[in-house]
Amino acid sequence: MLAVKGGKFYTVTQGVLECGTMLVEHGKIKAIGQDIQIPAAAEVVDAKNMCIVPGFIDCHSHVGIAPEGFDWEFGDANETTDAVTGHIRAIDGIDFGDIGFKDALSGGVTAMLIHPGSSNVIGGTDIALKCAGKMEDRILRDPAGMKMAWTAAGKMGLKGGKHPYPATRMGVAGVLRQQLHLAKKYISDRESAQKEGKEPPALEARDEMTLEMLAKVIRREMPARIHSMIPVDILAILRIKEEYGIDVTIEHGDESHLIADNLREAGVPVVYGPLLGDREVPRYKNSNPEAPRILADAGVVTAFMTDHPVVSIRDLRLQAGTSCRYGLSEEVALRMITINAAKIMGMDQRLGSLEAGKDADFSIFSGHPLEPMSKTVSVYIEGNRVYPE
Amino acid sequence: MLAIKGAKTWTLGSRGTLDSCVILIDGERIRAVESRMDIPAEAEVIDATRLTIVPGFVDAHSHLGLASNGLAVDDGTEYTEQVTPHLMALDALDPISQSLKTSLMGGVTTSALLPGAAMSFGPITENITVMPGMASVLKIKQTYPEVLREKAGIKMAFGNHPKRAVEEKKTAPVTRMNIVAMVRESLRGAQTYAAKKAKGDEAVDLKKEALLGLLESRYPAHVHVHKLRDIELVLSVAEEFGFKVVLHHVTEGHLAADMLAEKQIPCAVGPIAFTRRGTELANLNLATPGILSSAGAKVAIVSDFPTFPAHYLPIHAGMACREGMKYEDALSAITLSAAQILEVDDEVGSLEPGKYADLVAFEGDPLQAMSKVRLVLASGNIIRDSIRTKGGVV
Repeated sequence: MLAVKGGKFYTVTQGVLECGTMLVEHGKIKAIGQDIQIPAAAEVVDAKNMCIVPGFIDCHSHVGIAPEGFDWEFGDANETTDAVTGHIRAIDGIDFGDIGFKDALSGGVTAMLIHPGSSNVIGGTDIALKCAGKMEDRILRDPAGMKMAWTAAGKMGLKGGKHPYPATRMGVAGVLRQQLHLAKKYISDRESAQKEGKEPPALEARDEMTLEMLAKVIRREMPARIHSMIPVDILAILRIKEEYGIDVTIEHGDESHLIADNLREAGVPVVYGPLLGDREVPRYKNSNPEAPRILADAGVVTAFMTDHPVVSIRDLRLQAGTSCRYGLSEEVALRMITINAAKIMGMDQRLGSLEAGKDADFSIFSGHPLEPMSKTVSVYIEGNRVYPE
Repeated sequence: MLAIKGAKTWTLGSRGTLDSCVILIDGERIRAVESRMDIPAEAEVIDATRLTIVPGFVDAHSHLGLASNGLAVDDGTEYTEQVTPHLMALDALDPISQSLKTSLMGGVTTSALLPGAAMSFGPITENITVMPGMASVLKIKQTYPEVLREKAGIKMAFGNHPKRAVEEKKTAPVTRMNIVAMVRESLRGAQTYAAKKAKGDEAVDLKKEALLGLLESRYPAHVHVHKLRDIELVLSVAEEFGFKVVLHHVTEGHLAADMLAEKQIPCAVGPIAFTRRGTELANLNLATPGILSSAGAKVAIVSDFPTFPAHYLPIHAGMACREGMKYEDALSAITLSAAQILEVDDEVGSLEPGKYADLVAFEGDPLQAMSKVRLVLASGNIIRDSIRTKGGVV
């Protein structure tokens, strides 16, 4: 058993505990509070004058799929050969030895979603995993969603593919509707074939692989995670969500705050950002560093992303900190890299807060967890110290 | 006349750090910085008690104003030719770029304007040429930026990036050997030109005129360089031709900190919070500025806007500080040291009588992310003031 004692515990869901104690057993938080007896056999971590937070979660990264320190030959994020590549999987492109996983730990990030890039309307399946541990134990969800993208239409220059990249925003929506329509048909064909005891209609292997994954989106077993920045695109996504009854997340959402009420009503979360990097250079006339606060105030479930390697995954916590400069409350900022991200990942039963019964994924910081001058003292995943090594 | 009183003040000048002081401003300039003084009756007074004041930030490596809308850095590099020292980044400055305002609201009051702008974003990689042109130094103001130093040095680039610009076209240079040869050839040409010009028998050549300033030490070469092997190449060419050099990016500078300190080579380091995009950046390290400054080198921490927004310079300084840089060195790296590297420290970079009244007041530690900017002054003008009025946050 491990006992972390003293220090300031940011539980996220149950406020801040000054001078608390947390017991960890079998990889889970056993108890957390101020009046907890530490069993004599427990290994004690003294966190006096330090801050303890749940492991941070980045819902949008390309760690390992765009590995660091290599030139473009090793960049495996963008399969730019076709507008529909729903048959490919992020897990097959990840270099698990990438230093990005260590960077994540050095910034207190313990879990992440890794996406294929944004070069396709339908881009492939995402994976949710922890940042350290034995391979087989690390995977939280696979597939964890289908990556889609409302990219600068017509810019991809994909003329030769099976599905050429559409030239207009209408075309992007058209490709997506076609594929979702085929996925519904794929489901009904299989259901009726089963009833009738027949073989379902034969499909080309690649189409079958794509539709098998899109069927999971139609059945709401996983969301479509859609790269989109501006209201025109996001409103199209909300229409398609309504038409097909699917779950979606808005990824990036630079101007999503302008239609925050629509997003709240539709129950659609936003994975915002990344802040701190070149995305903040005015590219969209209404992008605004106050956007995370506006989204939060409107009641939209919002999380920050690093889009690593666009911004280092190590600095996820600083996006939350910097947003406080622009009026976001400290408490909400912390939720945006913990419990909100866990919800968007679909893992909030296990991750995102310091509560009895949840995974013992946490970090200890020398000072305020959202400040650049605070050092990461140590990071634990399921009770095992993973940083420093 | 304006008096700002009561704040803890890092002057970065001879007054050191004062727990409380009065800064008296007359027009564009600072008249006095004293821990106590009688404030003239006619002065407008801002009470900055409980705030922390630092000099306006100076960004020693930026393309601010060149990139007016995000990725559109089309005007940053004249790709058609490798050696263009006669081109001026200033000619591509968009004086109404929204980014100038955003940077100013975050306290950035002085910025280098370097040609050779390009950025890597996702699959797009950086492309620059061997000698893209002349850099300037700008004072960012409420209205159009003001040129503080028009000819601030010739931008050059060593290493992989100038190779990439033409990789697909298979035009020179495709090796480091030729990058160095192109620089040497240009400078050799400028030397010959100077000799002929002295005899009065040479027509004016704008490219060679620009290089003369380098050979006569009127301004330095600002050299984009990441790897140690390229740092060594830069220094050998600079020594051969006797020109001053400022190293930019200096990704592997921590591997040669003592040498750079001993040779007094100024280093504009960063952007340190970048990821290791490509093999040249494999050794990127947040500790580099601290290792260099501890060894005694002059260090600036830079944004390389638009790679990073310039107004987050203090956060980068805070990160360097976390990784071992002395607090005052980190603060100086975005104020006085940066001004010294750009050779504009007689005008900006510290809070001293006679210098421009450029300053920022923070609620909280200036190098922490959650601290709010409450007051920005540029050339004595109040750009932002949420002390007396509830101001917007930008």
